[in-house]
Amino acid sequence: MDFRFDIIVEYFPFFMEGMGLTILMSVVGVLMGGVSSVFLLH
Amino acid sequence: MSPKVFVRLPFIWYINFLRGTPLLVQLFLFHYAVLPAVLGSTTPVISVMVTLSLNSSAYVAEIFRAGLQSIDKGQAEAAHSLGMNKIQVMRHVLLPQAFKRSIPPLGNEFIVLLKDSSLGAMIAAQELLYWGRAASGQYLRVWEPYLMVALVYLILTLSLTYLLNYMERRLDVK
Repeated sequence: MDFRFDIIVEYFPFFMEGMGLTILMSVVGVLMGGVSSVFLLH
Repeated sequence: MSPKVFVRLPFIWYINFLRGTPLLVQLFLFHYAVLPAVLGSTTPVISVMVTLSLNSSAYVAEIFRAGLQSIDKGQAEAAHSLGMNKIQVMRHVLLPQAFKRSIPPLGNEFIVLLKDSSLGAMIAAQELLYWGRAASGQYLRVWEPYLMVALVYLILTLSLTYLLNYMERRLDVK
């Protein structure tokens, strides 16, 4: 099987952009979730 | 945690709904129905953030509840006997200890959330898996794009695990 590194190289900036967005969405999710969970403790 | 059923019931059902339905279903529901109805329009990234926040709030609330209930009742009684009111007991005695005990499950929740964010690709949020699918679609190849996506997720989760272990050691979590 020929492994095409050129695909990874071409898409590398997009993968990095996607990684940034993944981290952003997770951090916002866990922070907002943590804050709003305090209101659920009634 | 309130003794009054009518106070407890909406919160119990909120948590039941978010823990008892698949995250992908919630994502579709919020992206295509709830958020357009409430806000008028939405973007995939906002939908993912809102859905992850609501979903995680249900799980984190359960983690905090378990943490609070694990604190010995004698501590609250002792604080009350010193003249503290309910809010002071919660703020100065129970919550700091409960938070410390909740760090390991909170860390797990963060890792789960990081991996679950990949579902955002289903509504075209341009996160990691979205670009993997795009590369796969353009070149009709599956190994290279998805291995790369898996590798990046692995690096992220391992880094996070290392960071959380370091935090647990620093805070001496037992």
